[in-house]
Amino acid sequence: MDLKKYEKLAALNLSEEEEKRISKDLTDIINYFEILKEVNTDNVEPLVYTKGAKLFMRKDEKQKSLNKESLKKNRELFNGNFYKVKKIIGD
Amino acid sequence: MEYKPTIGLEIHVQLATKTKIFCGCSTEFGAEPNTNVCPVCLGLPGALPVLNEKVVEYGTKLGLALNMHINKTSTFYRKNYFYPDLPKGYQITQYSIPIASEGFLEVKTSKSKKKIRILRGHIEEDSGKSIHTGDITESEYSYIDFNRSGVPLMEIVTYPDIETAEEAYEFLVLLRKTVRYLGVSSGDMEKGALRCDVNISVSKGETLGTKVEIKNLNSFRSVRRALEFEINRQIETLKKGGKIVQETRHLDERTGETKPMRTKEELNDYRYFPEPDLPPLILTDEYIEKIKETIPELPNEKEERFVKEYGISEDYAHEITASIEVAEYFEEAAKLTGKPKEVSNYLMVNIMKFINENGKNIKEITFGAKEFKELLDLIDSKTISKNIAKSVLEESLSSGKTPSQIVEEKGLKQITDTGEIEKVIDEVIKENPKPVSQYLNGKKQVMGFLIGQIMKKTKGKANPKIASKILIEKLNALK
Ligand SMILES: [Zn+2]
Repeated sequence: MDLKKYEKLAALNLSEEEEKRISKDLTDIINYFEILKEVNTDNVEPLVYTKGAKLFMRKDEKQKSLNKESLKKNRELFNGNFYKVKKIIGD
Repeated sequence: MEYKPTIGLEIHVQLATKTKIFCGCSTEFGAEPNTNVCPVCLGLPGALPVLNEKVVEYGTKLGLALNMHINKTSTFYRKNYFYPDLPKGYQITQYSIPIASEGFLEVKTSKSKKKIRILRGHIEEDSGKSIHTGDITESEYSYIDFNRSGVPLMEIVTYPDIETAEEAYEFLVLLRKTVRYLGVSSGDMEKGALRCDVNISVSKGETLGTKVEIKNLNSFRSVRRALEFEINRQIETLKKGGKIVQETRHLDERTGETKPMRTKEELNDYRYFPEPDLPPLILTDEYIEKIKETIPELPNEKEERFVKEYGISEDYAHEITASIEVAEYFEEAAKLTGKPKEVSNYLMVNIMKFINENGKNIKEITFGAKEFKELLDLIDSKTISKNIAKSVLEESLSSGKTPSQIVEEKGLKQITDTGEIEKVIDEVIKENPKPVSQYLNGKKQVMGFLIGQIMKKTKGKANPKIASKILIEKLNALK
């Protein structure tokens, strides 16, 4: 597994030690799926959602948005009228 | 063998709902930054999306109008990527089964009619908007307005059936007409309600060439220009023995050239997975049928019917049906007057000119079907000539007065009283001995001059047919 690739996709910067630990964890997880693979699922429909879960929809009606004063409380993130976000790799 | 372009379009249509796709924030365009935001569209932890039923309705409607199959079960996915204007780190979209698939639009170009197939149409949320202040490359931060985050979109993806810039242009024009007829989107490209990316390659044989993507085209004209340039660039490169690089380009609006763009996602791995917060969207046959019934007559159908039913020219029918408001205006006036050809003429020549010059909307003008009938009746009853009718129409458009009012006030009534016309003709004959003798010597062309003199004296009000008949009689009597 190419851990570097996933580090990049997840915008993470891991130390060597963290890489070692996570690499082991991920390998264990993948190995666990190898065990699951042994089960015969020939006649089983893939289950993606909890059985019977129903999608609820809402009417196209306006609800109150957040008030600007409450947004401004977060000085780290909010600057003037805008959210301020550190540039991300690849940007 | 000639090089042949292969072009596919990806168009984002902003659906004209009042509120966002997964929350009740307003979708209003141009609001003060970050005033239409809430925990859902800001992607705050724990906030859950609840689907707006209007988005489903509009998506279904547009899918049906594009001759697509509506999938009774469709699913939502997370498309994962990092970008400052995407607060959750993923976009909720549709993936394996979109709401609509497999359709087409029939596009007319100067040369032919052609079916452009549509692969899929899926509903998704828009991202926020990065505001760049100062030098983009220097600044350590991005500034984001999340008002647009969560605004509903329908993405329409065509098959690579398009072969010329004109076809691409006409496809977009017809798509915009269609969304406007349906009322599911404003279709305003300038406001970002319609956004278009194109994929293009050229090749000589069966094997397709290397694909280049052109992004961020923000007007119909840009799409056409970018494609014209890019087709030519690719062919010239290949002819010189060069290679096409697979890349994303953008159009430089000043020069009309496409240029390579630095892309944000070099790793094109979105790790799509089903959105656990949204169970599948299930639509019944009854629901789809009900939506089908709300679809009005579409642009192409209307255009064909206008030609058949009203006998107007194909060009006029095409232009009149460009806007549903103009089409309705025409039809009402055509029905009331029973003179569709005249209506189409005055509409396309005089009324549209007035509208364009004054930046008006057809709904804003006071000259409607009733006034049209009045005007055409005035011509019919020979109260005014066609020439005068034009100025009456123009006057009515700008002053808002009715045609009869104007004719009355300005004394524009055509003179059909032969006695009065005879008097004027006698004067004209007396005052123009030279042309009269020329006529008597067989020079028939001077008739035009003499009629002109009569019109001048009557300020254009003499009925030209009656006038010329009397004039000939009188001249012949002099022989
Ligand atoms: Zn919201």
